[in-house]
Amino acid sequence: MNKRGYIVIGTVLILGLATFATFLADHAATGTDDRAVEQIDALTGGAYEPWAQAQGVPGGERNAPILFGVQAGAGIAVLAACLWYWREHRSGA
Amino acid sequence: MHIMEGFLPPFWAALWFALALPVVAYGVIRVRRLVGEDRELLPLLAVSGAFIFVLSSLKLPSVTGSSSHPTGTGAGAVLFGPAVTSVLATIVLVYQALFLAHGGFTTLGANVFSMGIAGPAAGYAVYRVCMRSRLGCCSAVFATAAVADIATYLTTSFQLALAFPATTGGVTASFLAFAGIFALTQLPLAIVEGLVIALVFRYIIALRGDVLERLHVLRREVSAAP
Repeated sequence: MNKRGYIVIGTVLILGLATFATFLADHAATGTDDRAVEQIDALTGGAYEPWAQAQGVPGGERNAPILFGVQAGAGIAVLAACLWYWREHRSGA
Repeated sequence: MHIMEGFLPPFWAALWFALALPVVAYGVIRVRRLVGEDRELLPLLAVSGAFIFVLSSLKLPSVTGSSSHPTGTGAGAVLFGPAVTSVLATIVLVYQALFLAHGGFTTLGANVFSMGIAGPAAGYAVYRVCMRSRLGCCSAVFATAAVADIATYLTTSFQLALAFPATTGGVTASFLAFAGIFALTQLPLAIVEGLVIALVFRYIIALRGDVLERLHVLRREVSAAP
């Protein structure tokens, strides 16, 4: 396969996984992190008050799925770039 | 596995910071030394970080009806050990605390300890045992990734149980309650994570088995096999 073919496949992979991560984050059921908070409430009778608050998602909670997508996209881009680099510089090649 | 911002009392938050910090500092030194000695390791380091970035971004539904995400630390544990993996996990956890309100800065020490140190250390121990018992490399990677994932969530359960012991049954009862939330949800995800990492690893072995040999990840006869 030529270089352009790899770039096309890589781009499709990056966008595909980023979209998948965005979809999952948008449609996720209650996360275990939230259930752990509920468990802390149950154990302390709701008496525990967090002493710090998360600063929130930049631009509002609706941006969280997109930022998960960005995270996934960045990761898969690095992964694809490294695998492509190794393919080109294969040992003994 | 993220303990939310402010959800660990200050004493426990400080303790986990104190335990995590020296390991991350040693990891930074190891990264500098490894990359300084062999530039060919840089892509491998990037791949280890990329696994954590990708897999920890996927909020997957599980059998318990809750969603959770894999950790992706197994590859780093196999390739570089827990100290270097703790550096990579710290980068991801800071991103998630900063941009996703997942975890937080007061709980960063605890989250780095569970995801970046305890999980990878358990996985690394399993990997050494598997390789010593001459199990195939891909099977060993699968076991490492799955154990690193589950161990991370068990550690989080322990951290929360120490901070919030149950009135009846104390830390043990509390640990069982948190583990019931985290570990049961995580079990199928850990298996999937192990399979994904083992498959990609197989491809990396085919491409650059020589680099893995230099890291003593592979025995010579494994990478020479077709």
